[in-house]
Amino acid sequence: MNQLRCAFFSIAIATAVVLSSRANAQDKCDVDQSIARAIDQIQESHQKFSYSGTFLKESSGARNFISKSHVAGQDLGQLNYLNAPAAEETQTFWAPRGPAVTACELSVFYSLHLKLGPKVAGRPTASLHLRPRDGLRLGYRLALDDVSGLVLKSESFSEDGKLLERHEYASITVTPRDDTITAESATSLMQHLDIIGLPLGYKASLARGFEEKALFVSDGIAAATVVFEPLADDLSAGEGAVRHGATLTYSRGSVVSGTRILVTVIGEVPLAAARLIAEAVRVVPSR
Amino acid sequence: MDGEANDLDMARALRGTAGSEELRVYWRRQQLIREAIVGQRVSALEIDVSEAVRKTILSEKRRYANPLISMAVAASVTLAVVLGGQQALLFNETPINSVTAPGAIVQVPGTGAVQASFAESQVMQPRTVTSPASVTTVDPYSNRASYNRLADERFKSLLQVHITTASAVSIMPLVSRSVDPADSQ
Repeated sequence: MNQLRCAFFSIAIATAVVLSSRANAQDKCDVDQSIARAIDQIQESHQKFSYSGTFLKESSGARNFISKSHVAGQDLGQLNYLNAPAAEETQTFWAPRGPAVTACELSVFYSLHLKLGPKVAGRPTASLHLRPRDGLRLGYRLALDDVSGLVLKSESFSEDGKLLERHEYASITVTPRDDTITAESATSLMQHLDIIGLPLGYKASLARGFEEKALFVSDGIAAATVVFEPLADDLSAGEGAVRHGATLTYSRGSVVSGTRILVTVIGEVPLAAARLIAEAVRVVPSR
Repeated sequence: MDGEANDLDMARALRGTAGSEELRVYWRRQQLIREAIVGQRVSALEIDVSEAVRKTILSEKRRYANPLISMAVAASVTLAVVLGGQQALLFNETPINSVTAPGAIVQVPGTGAVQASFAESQVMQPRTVTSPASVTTVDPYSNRASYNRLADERFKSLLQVHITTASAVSIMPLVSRSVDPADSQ
């Protein structure tokens, strides 16, 4: 009996040591504490601050002035294309509500650097650089509002360092939310799928509303939507891609086990990553 | 004695000493004197190498006596080099890549070594590479243009879906993702 008790005690201690070491590994990495705070601040900003402003979007040679408003804690906000050809071009957008990502997790795939940023829309910022450690994700340079952590300026770079897309506020009003927010745990909504062959760090999941035909793949920053549909009879196997700003659309037609299928990957990822994603999801995913 | 005599002179001198004992003694004495003058160790008088030297020179001369043999050897070597170069060119199925830089000297296939002849010189024409009839070259992505158009159509139809739902999987650290009105039309 004593031996059994000793064995149980040993297992409990070993488990505790393993768990604590894993927790320490998560908490303690080479990332500077100021960078860790900045990553957390970005993710909390839409919950803690309301804002309204106008920004310039430059993408694929096009320039658009867009007004944006968001109320703290709400899922949806409003976008208005100010110089659009149509009389009214209002869109809704979803506030970021993805699973929480820590700076330590991001530092595995991105090199993170934080330094004093430029003044944007009259507000002081910190400049956060996310440089990909491989060719399977884009690079970003963000100007974060010192007070709220909102992204006031963002630049997306291709794997070879070319600027793909830029957003920059010209004016913005930021208002902190008074009450304490108890945000819904987004992580609990995610159901990751076990798909072999995805690029390192990318995880796949089903999303509400599109379970039947789409998958979503992300490393926490880079995101891509994967859509399946039958391949037209007059089209043989092949592939093609277009890039509009930071968004790549990659389509591949193939015949898998006699079934003609068209896989389209659309997202802010390099072509190499889109190819790997399309290759990985050709096999029916198993949960 | 002074090293100025060539092989023929040496052979003539030795031939002369062969028929006269007196000359041979004289010759040996002169050799001893030469050795003493230049400071070499004087050879033992009883060793006579003159006969051996004479025989050696005679045998060497006999080996190369016929000049036709020397010419035949040289001609054979030359012929082997020329024909070998020709055959190497003939067996090379891969055309030589020509230099296309402006102003550069263009290396034309066949301008290497050619067999000498009195006929009019001809430049070998570049060889046509023919692929085996059994191999059919099919480009699996020959319909890339069609797929590029298809991808562009999917960009317009799926962008809104992607923007709406990507917020659930990414922290989306951009100011905003949106659909350009020009793309949605």
